[in-house]
Amino acid sequence: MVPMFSASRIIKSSLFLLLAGGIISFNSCKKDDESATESVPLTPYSIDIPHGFPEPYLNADNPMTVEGIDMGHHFYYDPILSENGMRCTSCHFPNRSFSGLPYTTPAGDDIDIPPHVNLAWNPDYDWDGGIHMLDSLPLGDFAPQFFNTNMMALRQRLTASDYYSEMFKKVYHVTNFYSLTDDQLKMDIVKTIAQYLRSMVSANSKYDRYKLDHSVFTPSELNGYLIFMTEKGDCFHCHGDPLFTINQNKNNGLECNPTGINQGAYLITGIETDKGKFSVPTLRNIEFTAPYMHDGRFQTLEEVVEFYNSGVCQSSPNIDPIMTKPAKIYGLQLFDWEKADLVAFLKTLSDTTFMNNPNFANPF
Amino acid sequence: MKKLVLVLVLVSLFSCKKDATDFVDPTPTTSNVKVQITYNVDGEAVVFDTVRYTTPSGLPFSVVTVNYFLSNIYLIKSDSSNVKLADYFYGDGRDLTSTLDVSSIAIGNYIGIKFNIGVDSAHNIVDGLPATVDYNNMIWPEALGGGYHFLKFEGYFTDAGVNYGYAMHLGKNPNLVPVVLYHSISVSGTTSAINLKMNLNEWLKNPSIYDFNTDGNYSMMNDAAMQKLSENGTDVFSF
Ligand code: HEC
Ligand code: HEC
Repeated sequence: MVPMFSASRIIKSSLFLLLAGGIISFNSCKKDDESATESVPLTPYSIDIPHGFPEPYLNADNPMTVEGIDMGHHFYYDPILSENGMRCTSCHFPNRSFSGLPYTTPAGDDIDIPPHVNLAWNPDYDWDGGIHMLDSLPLGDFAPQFFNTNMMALRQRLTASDYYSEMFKKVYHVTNFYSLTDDQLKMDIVKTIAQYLRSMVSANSKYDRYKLDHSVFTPSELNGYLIFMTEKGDCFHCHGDPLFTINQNKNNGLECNPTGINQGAYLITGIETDKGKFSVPTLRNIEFTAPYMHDGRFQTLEEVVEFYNSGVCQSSPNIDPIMTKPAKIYGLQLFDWEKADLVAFLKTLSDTTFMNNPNFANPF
Repeated sequence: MKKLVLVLVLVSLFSCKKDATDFVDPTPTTSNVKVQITYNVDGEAVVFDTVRYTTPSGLPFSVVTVNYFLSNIYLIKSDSSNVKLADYFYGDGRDLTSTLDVSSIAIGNYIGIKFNIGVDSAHNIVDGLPATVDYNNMIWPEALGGGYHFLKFEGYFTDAGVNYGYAMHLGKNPNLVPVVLYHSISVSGTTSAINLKMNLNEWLKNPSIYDFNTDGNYSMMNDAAMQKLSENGTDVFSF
């Protein structure tokens, strides 16, 4: 079985520390508390929930700890997991809010690489919303077409690393990487990455400051905000405040006759009424995550806005009723300056303090 | 440390014993109330997305979304005083497992239930309700006055063979829908179930027919449409 920390164990051990005031040695602790077998107790981590954000989706089986996050942070940037030098940041670029350029599948489809921002608030992942568990999501990266990981060679590399040897001892009480099965080792690794991903919170954009102090917007940004948040542009029904996604699957009318990957959630569920629907993406840091849409079909925000302005296919199957309002049938009819205002507003969702946060920077 | 553990153990043993020997009140004075809401169109249970029903004005339609708030939910006593069940409740037509569960309601016979459809004016403001996923998705943007959607009732309809979307969104304080339902409700035993039904077609009739073609298939920014929905809304619920 994978050694795991239960939340109660962490509370117990930190409570004990508190009581003991660091005087009583861990030997006496062992006598009283059979669960305190770790050499050093882990430090529980709780997400600082930004104003207006709901409770994040956490996993009781994978409680966040400072140590777990640190290890996940290292794995995220470390080619140690792969046989080919690849790492998460080979595709998820830090200076693009951890998004990337489209990945071309063996079948020849382009799939845009989504950003990592506020993932703790996503109930499902990937463009088609097909993955529901962040804790196991990165398992796919060990596959031959990505990291091509050789698990025996990985054990050797981890054993040779002082950092990972020490951290595995701390976090999982594992002293011997060979005592774990391949699946256990992979799971232990990706769980720490998931902890790290959950710690990546962005809520310090110009827009967030606008909400606190209504003075910071330029006239153009303010007008864009009004277009976005009113029926005129009507973006808010899907990209609602404060996450800028309602985290549901919707069809925004990209394709009149979706085939191949454009069928979206239908490919997961096989339900006809899911055809053309994609998990609404967050627009936080959208300035940095070009190209746009699941296949990266739009290179700029101007192109995206022009799509919503004049390119929506009203007859797309299952197009969201919000997209087919009479005022939208002939497009949004925005003037050029209004389109520019909408783009200006979208750029107020940029949070450079997030991308420059040392907690998310390359730790090596 | 050992002493502390001992004390804790003693305390817990003691409290265990006390629980076990506590006498059981032979006549409980309160009960748990469970309000369950189901959805239909003129008596036919709603099947989302696929099934077509007919609006009062004769248009075939399907249902994609039914999200709404209830607020200030009270049981009415025979002396017409009230017992509060909850300040607010979020309903999702797709989720029949979400019920309003209230503990410790005085046992007895009540003559009805009353509530508003929508969020009462005190809470219908920016940050008026706690930030949950569901509540946030009902936010009425600050730029439009702030607060929450009272109702999102969306889907598709066909007219002369052409498919259109519709979205009946309700919000703004004057459009809060007062609902009073007189019906004998007995609160007794450990759990008392109160089963309410929402007939979606009642949004579109009584007192006035709401026709997607003439009144608008979208109610947003349309005060006349919202007022009609609000007036029609008083009898969407029944026992
Ligand atoms: C070869 C490029 C590549 C590498 C390497 C890669 N990813 Fe991704 N990642 C993608 C693509 C493409 C998607 C979108 C897949 C889809 O939606 O079908 C994605 C999606 C994700 C998502 C879902 C995001 C969302 O908003 O739904 C997460 C989380 C993620 N990757 C984490 C990681 C982690 C952690 C690593 C390293 C262990 C990693 N990725 C390495 C290409 C990559
Ligand atoms: C009916 C729901 C809906 C509405 C309304 C809507 N969107 Fe979207 N939006 C989506 C979905 C779904 C996607 C992802 C589609 C895909 O990739 O196939 C998306 C994608 C985007 C993207 C690209 C995100 C990325 O990471 O690539 C931007 C930018 C965007 N929308 C902006 C807007 C703007 C601006 C408006 C208002 C003019 C708007 N949206 C209205 C559902 C909606």
